[in-house]
Amino acid sequence: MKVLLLLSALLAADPIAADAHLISGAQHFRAQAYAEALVEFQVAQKLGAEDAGWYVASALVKLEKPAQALVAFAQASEAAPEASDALLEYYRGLACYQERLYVCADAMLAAAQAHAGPKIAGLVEALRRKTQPVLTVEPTRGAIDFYLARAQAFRVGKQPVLATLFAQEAQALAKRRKDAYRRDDATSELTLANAATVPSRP
Amino acid sequence: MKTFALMSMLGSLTLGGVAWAERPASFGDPALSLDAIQSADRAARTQVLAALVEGATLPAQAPTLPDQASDRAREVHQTIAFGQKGAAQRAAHAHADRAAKAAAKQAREDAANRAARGAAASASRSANADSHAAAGQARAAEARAQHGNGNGNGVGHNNGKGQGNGHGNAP
Repeated sequence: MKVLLLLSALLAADPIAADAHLISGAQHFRAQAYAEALVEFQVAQKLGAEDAGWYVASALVKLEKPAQALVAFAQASEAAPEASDALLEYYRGLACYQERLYVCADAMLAAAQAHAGPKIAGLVEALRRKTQPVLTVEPTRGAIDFYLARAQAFRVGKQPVLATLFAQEAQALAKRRKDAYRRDDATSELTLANAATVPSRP
Repeated sequence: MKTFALMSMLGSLTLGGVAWAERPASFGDPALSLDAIQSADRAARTQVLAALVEGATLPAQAPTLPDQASDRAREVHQTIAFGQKGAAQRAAHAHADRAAKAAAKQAREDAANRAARGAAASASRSANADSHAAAGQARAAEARAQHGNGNGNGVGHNNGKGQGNGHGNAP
């Protein structure tokens, strides 16, 4: 069975055609035609370029679809973890930032900062500085309620990646409050979200 | 090209399960050697990463922590606004309906008026024609009567037979 699956995957793969779509996607991305770039990267991914998942996610960030981007980043890091680098982690941090997951964003940016090139290092530093105000004040109860409500909604809506991210954010914020407001709820929600996460690959 | 790539892959599978990446570059078309494909792969990815670096920017919006209460308030506000918008839309539709009905009624009335006026004009023309005809007939009758009487009395073209033969012409 595994041999058959491998064979079918190899038959579907076409590295030469995938490269052509990657190049076309890059050209569209440069021209700020992000919707077209997204399609090209998706086609390349279907033709076997597993690392194209990272580019799909990055195009979704530029299209300001952070929730979809975060799911795509999670899938890409599972499918092609070796393809990740500081640049792609920066885009992932941007997706967190757009979704108002500031703790998540800061963690991604901190990871990217160490091995980023000059341009990305500058952006990482600037974005981390920009995010600091919301990370240093004590979060309101309403903020924790918000993230927990979202985590629950995503879990019920069978979106475990997003449910986990929102539960993690709620937990991190609850820890920063003196009264540890709803920290146990956040931990429980995170456990449930993790349990709902079904690995897409065996 | 695609067929060849597939054949190469299948070929690599039949070579005792040797991974495609490990197959010798001399297998098959040398123009499509592993090195060439890997080089093309690298070139494609370099282009993508360069485009991503170029497109990397700082987000414009300032960070703000969300708040469940304000989020709910916003939802309620949006619902109300949507409700008001809905009511406004319904009112606009109703107004448009009424206006359309009124316009249709007006058009019908105008058409009826025009038809009525047309009928009246036609009737009038007809009546005029009738009256003219009637007048003519009356004059003809009168002329005939006068002519007939004169003829009968030996006035005019009396051929001695004592019968009138008058021709009254209506105007």
